[in-house]
Amino acid sequence: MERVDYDEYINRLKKRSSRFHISWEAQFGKSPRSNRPRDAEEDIVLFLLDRKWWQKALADGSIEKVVPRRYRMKWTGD
Amino acid sequence: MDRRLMDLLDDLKRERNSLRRALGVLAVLTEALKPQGIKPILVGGRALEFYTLGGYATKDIDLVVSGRERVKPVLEEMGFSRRFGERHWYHEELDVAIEIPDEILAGSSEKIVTVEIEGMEVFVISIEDLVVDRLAAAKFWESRSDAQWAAKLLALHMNDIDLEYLKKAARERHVEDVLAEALKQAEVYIDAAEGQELFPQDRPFET
Repeated sequence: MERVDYDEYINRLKKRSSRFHISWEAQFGKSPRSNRPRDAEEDIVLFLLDRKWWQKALADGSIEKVVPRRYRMKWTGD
Repeated sequence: MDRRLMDLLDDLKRERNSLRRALGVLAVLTEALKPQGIKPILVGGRALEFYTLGGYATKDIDLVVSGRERVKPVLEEMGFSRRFGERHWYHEELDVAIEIPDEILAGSSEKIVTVEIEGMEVFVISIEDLVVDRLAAAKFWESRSDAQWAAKLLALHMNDIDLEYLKKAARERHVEDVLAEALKQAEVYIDAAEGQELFPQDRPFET
């Protein structure tokens, strides 16, 4: 059985995907935005997740609201 | 570009979080452009990704820069390259793609949000102008998902929004009708969040 290094595999795939994306947009222009909305229930759940992320980030200090229209973010996740 | 900025870029190669890596790169670029008085402003999907902290995900960094030709040598110095015919500057090791689609910000420069990162700054289009941008896409490109994102932005940041400015900007872009709908949808999101907070598992110390 072939063993795959997950990080190496994802890294390689991401770079290939970025190159493809850039070439595609150069040739065909910006991809049209999706006009397919999420269903209402899924949409609410995803909003609640976004809200939790903000609350968590503010609570653990990875983002800090300094004054209105000014935030401070940690440099890296380390 | 000074050694410190190059070292910071090297650090970012190990950052796994794509939003954090993108904002870090932008902070370095903004710092490197400071001596020339150039102020890049983050717009588009990556700005939306910042305001939703990754809820919305995109591949590009779209910037508005007045005098974009002067950015080219700095991007090259940072290790970005652009192939013939392509609009994006790409850095393979960082896996970050930058496009500068405009020189003039569609919105207010006074309302721009600043993000401090490691003593540097990143400038982001205001929530209000980003909402109006998404509402314009919803109305004129019939993109219903953009209407949902506009409503989510409103609900997430309702307390920080200058409603008077938002309504004025919406009128100027002829999207006041879709703004009214987005504000109603934002109320639905806020109600859902308040309802969810009443679930006992979220408040373990209350009886």
